[in-house]
Amino acid sequence: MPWGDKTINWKIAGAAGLGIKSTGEVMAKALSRSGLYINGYTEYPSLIRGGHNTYQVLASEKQVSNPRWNLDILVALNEEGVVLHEDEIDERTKIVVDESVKIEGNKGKLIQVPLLEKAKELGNPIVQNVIALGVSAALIGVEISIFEELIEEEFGKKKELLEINKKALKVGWELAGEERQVDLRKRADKPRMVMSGSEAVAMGAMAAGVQLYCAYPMTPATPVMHFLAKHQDKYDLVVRQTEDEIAAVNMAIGASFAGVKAMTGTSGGGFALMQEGISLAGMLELPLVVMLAMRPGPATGLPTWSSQTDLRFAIHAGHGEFAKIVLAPGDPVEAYELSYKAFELAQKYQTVVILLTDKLLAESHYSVELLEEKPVVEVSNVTDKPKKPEEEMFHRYQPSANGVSERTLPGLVNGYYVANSDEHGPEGLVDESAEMREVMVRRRMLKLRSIESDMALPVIYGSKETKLSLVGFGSVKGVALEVIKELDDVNYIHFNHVWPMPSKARDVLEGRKLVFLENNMTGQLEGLVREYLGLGGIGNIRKDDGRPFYVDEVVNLVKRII
Amino acid sequence: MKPEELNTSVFPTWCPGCGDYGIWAALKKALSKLDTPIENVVIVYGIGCSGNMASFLKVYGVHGLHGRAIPVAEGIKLANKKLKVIVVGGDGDLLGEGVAHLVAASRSNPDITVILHNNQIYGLTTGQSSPTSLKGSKSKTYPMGTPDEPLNPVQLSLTLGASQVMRGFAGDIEHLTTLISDAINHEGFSLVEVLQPCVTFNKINTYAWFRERIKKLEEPERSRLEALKKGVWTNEQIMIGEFFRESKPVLGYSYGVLENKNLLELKRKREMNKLFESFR
Repeated sequence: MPWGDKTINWKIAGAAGLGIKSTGEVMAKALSRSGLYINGYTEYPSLIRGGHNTYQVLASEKQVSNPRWNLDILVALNEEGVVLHEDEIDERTKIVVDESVKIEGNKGKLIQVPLLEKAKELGNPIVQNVIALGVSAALIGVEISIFEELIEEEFGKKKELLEINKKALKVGWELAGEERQVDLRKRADKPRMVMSGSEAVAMGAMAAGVQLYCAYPMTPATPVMHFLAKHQDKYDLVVRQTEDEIAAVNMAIGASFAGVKAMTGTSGGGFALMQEGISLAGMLELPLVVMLAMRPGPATGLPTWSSQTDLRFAIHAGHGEFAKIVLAPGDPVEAYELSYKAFELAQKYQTVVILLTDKLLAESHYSVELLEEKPVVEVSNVTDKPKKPEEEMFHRYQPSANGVSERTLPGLVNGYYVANSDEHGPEGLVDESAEMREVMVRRRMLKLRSIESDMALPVIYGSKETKLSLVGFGSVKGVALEVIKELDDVNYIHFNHVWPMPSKARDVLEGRKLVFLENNMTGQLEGLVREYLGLGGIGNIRKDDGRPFYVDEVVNLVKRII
Repeated sequence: MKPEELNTSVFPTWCPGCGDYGIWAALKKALSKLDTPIENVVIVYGIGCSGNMASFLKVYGVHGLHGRAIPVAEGIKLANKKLKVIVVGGDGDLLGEGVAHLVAASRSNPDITVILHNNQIYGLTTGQSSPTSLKGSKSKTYPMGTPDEPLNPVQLSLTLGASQVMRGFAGDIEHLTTLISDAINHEGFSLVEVLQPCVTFNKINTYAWFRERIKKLEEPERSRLEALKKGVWTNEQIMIGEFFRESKPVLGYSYGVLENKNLLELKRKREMNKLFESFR
């Protein structure tokens, strides 16, 4: 029987330390290998043990881009796993729980199986999650061999673990009993890629040829560092964990001065520490890429949750007035492309480019059809012509048409100059005169204006003419694309180049009824559009509870506005 | 090369008699004697009177943020290990704002040289106590005397495993020149603390005050513990010279891809397709 329009929303929930995340990732990959599009979403508190972790996979034969609320299958490894998700369960939901868990009068169909007992029989209580995977495979209707393949890839070299896990899968499959589907999905010939936003950002940087990634660990930026660290040797790059974020941003600047492509990454609190460093990059006019992976603030906030709370912070980063660029990808393909573009723009304009992501994008898993091979980004705007004989030092900061002028790299004979954080003359020597200050300020303002030509305009998804347009940036793209599938009279205008805001963006938005969809409470994109494009909206949909927008809640709110 | 050839057209703005002149002279002498060509030298300056040297030397320079010269220097060195990288900063810069970076560098052994101008005062900001001010010394921020114990950078750095630690005196340029030359040529992290009188704001630790207490250490100690003892400051004696040196792996020389290569030259094409396949 064909799959048709069906979507499957599967979730596993339990205490931390039970392998919730890895089990979820196996499910995401297995469903993808059976030819489905997937969206994998995880929630976890800031703990190592205990607490409550979840991983859910939405799968369909059509593209899916955001988690959904109502569950088809819930695998709960403890009582909390059911209780905490009561609102997500309805009559159709199949709830898989261990026999020992006591569940009182719920909607949905309870499927109690001896997960823990069977796991102990096999020799390790932790494999209860793999048994649950086997049960799930049967309930969904996917050939168990696809799961076996993934288990082999995971444990291939560890014979004992492999055996236990393969048995666990089979046990689970049997335990499903009559709930097992008859028609089974087989392995697709060429499955799509399954990747997280973090992996996409890292690979975009690798494609660009990043040479140094120096950073201090901070959720949810760290997975990028882990990925790059893992691939250092094969991709000619160095990953350095610094003593703090201030060292990270300054080290990247130093490396850039010497001619290497450098990047750092952090979240709100760490970005706060980098402010002076970002200002330095703007003053010295050195290429720098900074990834800001947002999470809810203020202060420590919700370390393991998501929000879009730092758009303004990114745009106004660093004291003083200088040119910077902010890009905000909305999905992994954009994350890959814009991470790469960040390096291009950093070199072209010799300044800081901020890549704005968030936990939702960074840690969710998505189906990706294709990523393009790209040429390494050249370290550009560098000259090997030394200073002129009459010059004292190389005129690094000389006037130009667009505020950008060539620099030398240390090692070039007679190419010396001072990259000076103090206001300076053309060779970088300190100059506090009003005249020179005016020259340099004008130079920096000129660069700010020049960048606009490289800022892509916002893109319209859906019909061109509609009653209402949702407007957003970054990861809200996921829910917005789902919403416009359900509401014909709505389209979505997506900003992924947010600063400098291109003035021609006004043409895209003008004459439309705009509703700003943002994961923050002060309507930061809305404010920018009003300030820089002179346009207002007819309403806004805001949320900042650490969780993503769900399709149904947005649909309901939009209907009310219409 | 003659030391004067390294001067820019900017005449130093330091107060007449400032210890910074002596350190500047010693550094220029050391640079002029280097085997390394001058285009391969980069100096990273902090913010303070000492950092103003950025405008007085005709060398590749980065005049960075207050306290942050060391990470910039580390970044430069990681990028291109053929460069000789020197940090010029003061006690406020390197032991106040930026002490965490001195700690980290002492532990990880990057091949850089840190010349720490120690005048026990914040000069450029007109006279506040610094991390090395003697306890109880008076200043604009502590008219009743500073309550803090002074930090001893030689002992701090030695404790953390620095591979070469020295102390010099701005009033003995010949000796200081030898120390600086040695430090630049040392493969690993070198700290050169320089006792530097501030004639305008520090009326306690003057040239005379130092000359009464300074004693030369003729040879470095064999053990770190002995070096630590020699590095102490008392009211009776402050030793100058090379306290300790050792040879050990350098950050960025034997680290992953940098084992036999220079990061600056690693620019080959990144083949991504194989990696993409692993995601299916």
